[in-house]
Amino acid sequence: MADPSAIDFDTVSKAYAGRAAVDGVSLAIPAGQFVAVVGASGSGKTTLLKMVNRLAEPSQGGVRIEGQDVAAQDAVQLRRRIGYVFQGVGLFPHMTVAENIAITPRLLGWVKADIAARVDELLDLVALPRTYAERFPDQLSGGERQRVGVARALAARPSILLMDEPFGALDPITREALGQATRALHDQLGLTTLMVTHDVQEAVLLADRIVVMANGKVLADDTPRALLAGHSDPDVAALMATPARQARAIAALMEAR
Amino acid sequence: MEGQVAAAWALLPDYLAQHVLLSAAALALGVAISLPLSVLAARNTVVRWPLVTLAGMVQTIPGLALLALFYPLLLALSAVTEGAFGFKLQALGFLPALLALTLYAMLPILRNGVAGLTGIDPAVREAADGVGMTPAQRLLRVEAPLAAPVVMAGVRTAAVWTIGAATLSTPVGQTSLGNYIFSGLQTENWVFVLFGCAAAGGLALIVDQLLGLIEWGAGRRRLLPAAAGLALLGLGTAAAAVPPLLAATAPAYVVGAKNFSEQYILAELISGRLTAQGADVARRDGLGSAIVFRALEAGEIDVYVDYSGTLWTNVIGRKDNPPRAQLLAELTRWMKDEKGVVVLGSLGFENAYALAMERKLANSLGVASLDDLTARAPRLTLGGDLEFLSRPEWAAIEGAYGLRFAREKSFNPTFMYRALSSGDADVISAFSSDGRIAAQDLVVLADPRGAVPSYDAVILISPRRAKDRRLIEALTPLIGAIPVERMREANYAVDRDEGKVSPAEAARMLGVGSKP
Repeated sequence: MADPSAIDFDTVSKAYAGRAAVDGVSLAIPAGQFVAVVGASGSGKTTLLKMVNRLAEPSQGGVRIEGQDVAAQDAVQLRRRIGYVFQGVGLFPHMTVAENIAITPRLLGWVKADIAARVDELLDLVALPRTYAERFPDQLSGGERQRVGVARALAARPSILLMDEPFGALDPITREALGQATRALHDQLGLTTLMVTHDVQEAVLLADRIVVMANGKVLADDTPRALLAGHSDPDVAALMATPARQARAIAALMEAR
Repeated sequence: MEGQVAAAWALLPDYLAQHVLLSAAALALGVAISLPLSVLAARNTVVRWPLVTLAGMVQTIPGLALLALFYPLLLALSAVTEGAFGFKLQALGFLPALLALTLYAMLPILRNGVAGLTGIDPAVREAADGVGMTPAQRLLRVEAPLAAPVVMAGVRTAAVWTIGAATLSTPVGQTSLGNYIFSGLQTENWVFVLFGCAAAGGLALIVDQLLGLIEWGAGRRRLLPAAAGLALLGLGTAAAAVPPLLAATAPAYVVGAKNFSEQYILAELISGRLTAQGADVARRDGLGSAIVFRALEAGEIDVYVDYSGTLWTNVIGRKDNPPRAQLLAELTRWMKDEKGVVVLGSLGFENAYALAMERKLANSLGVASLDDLTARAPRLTLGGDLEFLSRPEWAAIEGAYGLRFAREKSFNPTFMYRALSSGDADVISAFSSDGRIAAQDLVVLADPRGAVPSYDAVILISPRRAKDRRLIEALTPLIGAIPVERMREANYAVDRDEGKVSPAEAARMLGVGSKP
């Protein structure tokens, strides 16, 4: 093993009440890669994601980050090193935008001036006006809120970003814009990103690599281009064909005018 | 009327201060216990149900009973601590009231605490974990502020309940605004009753508004209103706490009284004589008649007036009925030998339990004695005071004369006399020294079989004061000094509607006042 992967799943399984949510998954994610995990509800993709920062503990197998077993690390310290964008919003409703963004640096004990500078920097990074700093989450639109969510995840300069259905609740325009912005941040900051989504089109457009899951198992794992070209598993093939099929149907509609 | 209002105002500083101190302590203790319990119950579903149910059950116990229950409990506990560690617990006054009210305050805080914590969006809780908070940080930075409005609503409810229920601490010997209400009810002083209710209600309203101000300010991050609310609450409590703490030297003597007019008057008489000697005197008024003797025995009060027959049957548990002088002599000896309590002597009158009827009804039924009543009772209603029907004296009368009434009802003594004229009762358990017997022209039924013992009003002195010469010398002149007619007049002066006087003024009417 020359250069360890950023994230390494080693035959992890997780059972809830006797049913396997994740069933013997092994994945190696090299540093700098943007990986999308797609699958239907209950496919185990979110559980897989949560095992990285120990919000879920594997029943069997293990997860390594940069070669270090996460089970041997303090969960709280581990989570402070890893950015996490939550499904829905997950912002603290009683804290201002600035306080939400500053939470992990504060937990890490950064000095005040550094935190203030970092908040301004992050508002710029996610393209929110600095005047938003003193607003509360319920004074923001859904897209603005998730921008704050991304800023909060990146606040303590993590090298790994985990995202759980980050754009699921947004309207299509906001969703596309925020997706592109996140991909740009990934490239700019040199992150390793693991994103869970049920939207194949989003996965195809943003990710370097797509992992398709069903019933806790990995059905396919390849680049978007390769998967779009077809797959031996009929379910995977059908799933990956949807973006292209929709695109053709739309094109046909346009031509028919 | 103006005189009564002035008298009520004069008592307000002491009553209000004690009420504030008691309620504040109970609420603070209730919050201190309930908040951690809420966190525990919110996390652990196994303890949640029993905890909230238990708190709910406490709430169903009537406040008066809950307060009263702490007296025997603390007395028993006190015996244990004295045996094991050599110190006694205070079973009367502040401690039992504090404990009962604390229990009372717990339910709303606990229930709202659990509701507030379990009502937090699980996604927010997971986010707190996900950004790297420890469980303690999650509780303090996320869960506590989000649950705060619901918890605060519970604290406000608890505050209002506690201030209201604190009025019930008078019968366990803790002075509160309830002293107005209890003494007012006994002496038919409605000005006092209303004054007590208004004062407690006003206090509850002010505290609720101040807590509301703190909640409003904290919720909107306005430091000024929150700090102002907090400061006013703190200042109010401190202002109430300072005078009692400054006067922390224990009073020389504690004078007890049960909960009816004659007792208030006699307690005034005794206090008056002691203060005239330059002694420092505290009062414990409105004590339940079962509590008062045990309080004397335990040294929590030093002196009070009880009645020989009551002690004979209820304390000694005797069923026989010797002549008056013999009973008093035997009682005095027994008290000295068994309890170390000094029976100083009889004040000179009896306040016996006696069945009484309106003269008109008694004449028309041809009833003059309890023997005559036996045949008539099945068509009549008996009205007893709150404890009469469960006292051994009633069992003795019932047994001796075979009395079977159509109905038996209990009344507050004031309302018992009223029940005769309103027709709610035909026969009542009157007190022979009561001025209302003459005023309402009642017939006291003779007891030819001697079922009821004699009830000499006697001064009792606690074991630890048994050799206190100053106390004994101050009170000895009262022995044999009060004829029953004079006592009846004094009682009626307090009980009547027109020209009502205070117990202190009535005590002066007895004519054995405070000569130095």
